[in-house]
Amino acid sequence: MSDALSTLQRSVLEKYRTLADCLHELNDTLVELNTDSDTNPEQVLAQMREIEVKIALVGTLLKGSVYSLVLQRNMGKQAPGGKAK
Amino acid sequence: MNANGEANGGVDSAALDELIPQIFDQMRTNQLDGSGAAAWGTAAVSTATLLKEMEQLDQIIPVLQQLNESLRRSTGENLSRIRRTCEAVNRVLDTWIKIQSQAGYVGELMDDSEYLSYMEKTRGDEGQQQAYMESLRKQVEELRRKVDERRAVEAAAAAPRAPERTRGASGIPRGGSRITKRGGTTVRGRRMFR
Repeated sequence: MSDALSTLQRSVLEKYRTLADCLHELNDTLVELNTDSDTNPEQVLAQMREIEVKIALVGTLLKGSVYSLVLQRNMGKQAPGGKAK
Repeated sequence: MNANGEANGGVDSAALDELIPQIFDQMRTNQLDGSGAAAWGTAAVSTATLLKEMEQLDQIIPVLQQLNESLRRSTGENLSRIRRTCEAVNRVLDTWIKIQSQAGYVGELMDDSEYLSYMEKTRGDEGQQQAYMESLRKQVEELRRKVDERRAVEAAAAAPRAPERTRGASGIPRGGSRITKRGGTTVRGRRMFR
């Protein structure tokens, strides 16, 4: 059957074979990226979620600290004979 | 998901292996069966189609090769760097949370003159810290000794007066004032006899 194919047809088939090889290599690369523990996107995502939660916690603690400081200053000003810190 | 993809890829490649020769056979059959201009036109269209297809494949294949190369070289390194960065950020945030959770205690310390003088004098030097603590211990011992002496002096001064308060001139304890103040008949009787 291959004898009946023209040169152009053989070239197209060869290109398709190259394309299939490229796609297989791409698949292998993606599988390797997904399975490698150092580059596993799931672990990176888990750590980024952890960072998200911690940043929210840090923001809340910072707001609480600033609020406490402002409150202490106001109380120091309002107290008779108290000094503003 | 990978298994499904591989399974699908296997089916697709198998189907392609079967389909492509069939298509070429069909095209060749059409070319052989047809006559005159129609057959020549079909062959011309097929050639043009093949040429266009090959041109598009020539455009697609380098893109895929470059994509694969980029993924293989850069993405792994970048993902690894992102992961290391995430770990470092996590550590920094843990430390920050620990610091801020002690904010109230630190605020009290910053208002504590004793602690501020301690920090001013020691400045983080361990030897100076020990010397400062030792001097404070000596001060405390001195104060404690003075307090003991003062107490001893006061106790000695108060000791001679104690019998006068509790006993009469004869040394015999006086009768309880409660008894005399009570409204009992005995007390009244005693007063009457006196």
